Amino acid sequence: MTESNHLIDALDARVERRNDRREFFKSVVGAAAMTAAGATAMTLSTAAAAQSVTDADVLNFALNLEYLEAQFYSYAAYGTGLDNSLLTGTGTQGAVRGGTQVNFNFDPRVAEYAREIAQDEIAHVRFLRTALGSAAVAQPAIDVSVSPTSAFSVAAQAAGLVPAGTAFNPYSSPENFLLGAFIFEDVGVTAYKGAAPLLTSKTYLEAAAGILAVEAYHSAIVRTTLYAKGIAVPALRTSADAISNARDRLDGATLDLDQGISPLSQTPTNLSTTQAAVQASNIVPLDANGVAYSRSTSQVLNIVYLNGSAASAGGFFPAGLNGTIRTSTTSS
Amino acid sequence: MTDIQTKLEIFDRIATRRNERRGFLRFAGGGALAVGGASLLAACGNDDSDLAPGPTPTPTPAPALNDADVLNFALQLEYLEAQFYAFAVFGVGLNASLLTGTGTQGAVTGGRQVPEFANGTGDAVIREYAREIALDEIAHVAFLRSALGTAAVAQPAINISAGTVASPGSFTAAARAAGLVTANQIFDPYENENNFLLGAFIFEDVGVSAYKGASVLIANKTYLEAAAGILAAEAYHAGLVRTVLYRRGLGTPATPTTAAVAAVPALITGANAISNARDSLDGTVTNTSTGVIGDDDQGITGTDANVSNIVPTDANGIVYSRSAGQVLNIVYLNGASVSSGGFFPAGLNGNIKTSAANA
Repeated sequence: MTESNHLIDALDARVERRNDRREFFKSVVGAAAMTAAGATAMTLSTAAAAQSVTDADVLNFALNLEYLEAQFYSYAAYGTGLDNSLLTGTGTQGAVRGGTQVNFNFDPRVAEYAREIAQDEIAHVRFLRTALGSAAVAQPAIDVSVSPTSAFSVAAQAAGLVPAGTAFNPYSSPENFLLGAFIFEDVGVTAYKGAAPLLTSKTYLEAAAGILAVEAYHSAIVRTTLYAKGIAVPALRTSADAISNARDRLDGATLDLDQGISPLSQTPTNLSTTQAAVQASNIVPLDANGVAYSRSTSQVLNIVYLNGSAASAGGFFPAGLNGTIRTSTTSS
Repeated sequence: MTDIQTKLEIFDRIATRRNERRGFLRFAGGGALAVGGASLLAACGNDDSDLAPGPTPTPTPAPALNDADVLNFALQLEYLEAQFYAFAVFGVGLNASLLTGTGTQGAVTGGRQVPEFANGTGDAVIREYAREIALDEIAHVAFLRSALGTAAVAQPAINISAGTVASPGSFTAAARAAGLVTANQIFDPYENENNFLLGAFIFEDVGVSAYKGASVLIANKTYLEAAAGILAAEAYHAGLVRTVLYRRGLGTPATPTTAAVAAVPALITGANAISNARDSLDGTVTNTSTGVIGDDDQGITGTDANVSNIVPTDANGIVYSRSAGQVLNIVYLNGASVSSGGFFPAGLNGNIKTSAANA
């Protein structure tokens, strides 16, 4: 690990990224603070005091994303969507466009993962709706369909998986399903990590931490399976890498918040003897401190709307999210 | 320059707002408040003369934990994981400069390179996963030490050995508790890749539950976000290990382009047995007043053979929390309230070191 194995970089990165209007807590760490010589400089500036997002706003933001994941996995695993009783609420209720059961014949393990993940995501929808009660938003219009202009296809085209004007079908094979899932899962991790500090209730914070962990487990399932299959089919690794790069372009070039799965050459440091470089997998997207990345709500929207410019709808949410947190700013 | 008064006012506001069952949170690093202190946590001392007037703290009968306590608890779990992976993957332990600090520094007993990792035989991707996880855990040690500065505890004595039949090491003790081996056998996690995976399995889910349980104890938002980021890393690790155990354990059928891969049932039964042992150690009864859940661990297969159980979740699809006491039941390999044992033969350093009474 390099000299940037250092709290200062992590904190500076967080400060850079908090370009939401809701930033409420900044830390600036002086360079000397973490050295052995020590120096003062852990400076905290009081941020914009009143935070303008409520816990309900944050949970509803998460609920919108869970609707999307739950519907995709439910269709992929079982061929059916969520019961309507799980879709009602405030805002404009919309329908799911698309969704088909995957043919998992050639990999029953992936079928088993799909069912497990679907059950988890449906449970998340239930949990968040219960926590929100009458404040829960309805499921907005969702696009998980297959056509040359569908959200999955636009994402795949942006990643170069398919040529322009060509459809990408995440339901046509276990491998395509894994690539489709790959689009969501890391985003979910970074979304919950970015949103957790916005919550004021300790109960909701603990729950959000728990869902964050589940999304990370899910992402590991998908990334690990793509990586292992990538021995025989290298395109699976490079496709995942390409999707990661596309996400990086959507949410802004300033910060590299996303990583592909292809192996990296790493030189171990901090061991008792000097080590040569080794090739290691990149299942886990972490910064130099071994810490996962955060995305702001705006950056998450850049990705799910498939638009780096300011928007209130698009991509997987053709009518936008319901609730307060639904508009992205242009990423940078 | 540090605006001490502003900083402490912020902490006072944060602390006042956090009127949870754990009481008022002090930022007492144990040393004198010093402008120019080496780190935030060490610098927040007890010297009231530098404190800005703030709300009167509500006294609490039980000793309150501060962020430094929580991060030091996490640091020691990371020492354990990092040393296990460092030895298993690279054949050496952590650099001495990463092990110093407050409390009693101890040595590592046991640990050696897995032969398949050394000689390049075995499964290439498993070697790559092992390297990746090792590098992450070493990074966690360095990161937490950096955050804690002079408040960081030293690495306590750690046992990651198999030992002998007559004198079992921590891994053999754990495996015996899980029923993986008999009283006349040892369990050596360094013997081969499959044993290594089971050894790794012992730690990773525990790390997830530990960080989740600790998430409500951390007051400083920056450290909270960092802890959430390490929680995510441990969850990725656990997901990786459990997925590998599951897929290797069940095998895969032939496809038009790939050959069938035979099952290794011992990986499934081994993982599930370890999960059951963890459940037994950290308490089997759900305490509705404290919220501590008894059945907080799951194996990698569930009741439905058509659905995997890579992710141990409750009915809400949420992973479990463990209290620090429960985590210590597991790493001390003792369901009773003790201060040492198992992987930490001299116990943890710092203020969080006693396991819960769950025997």
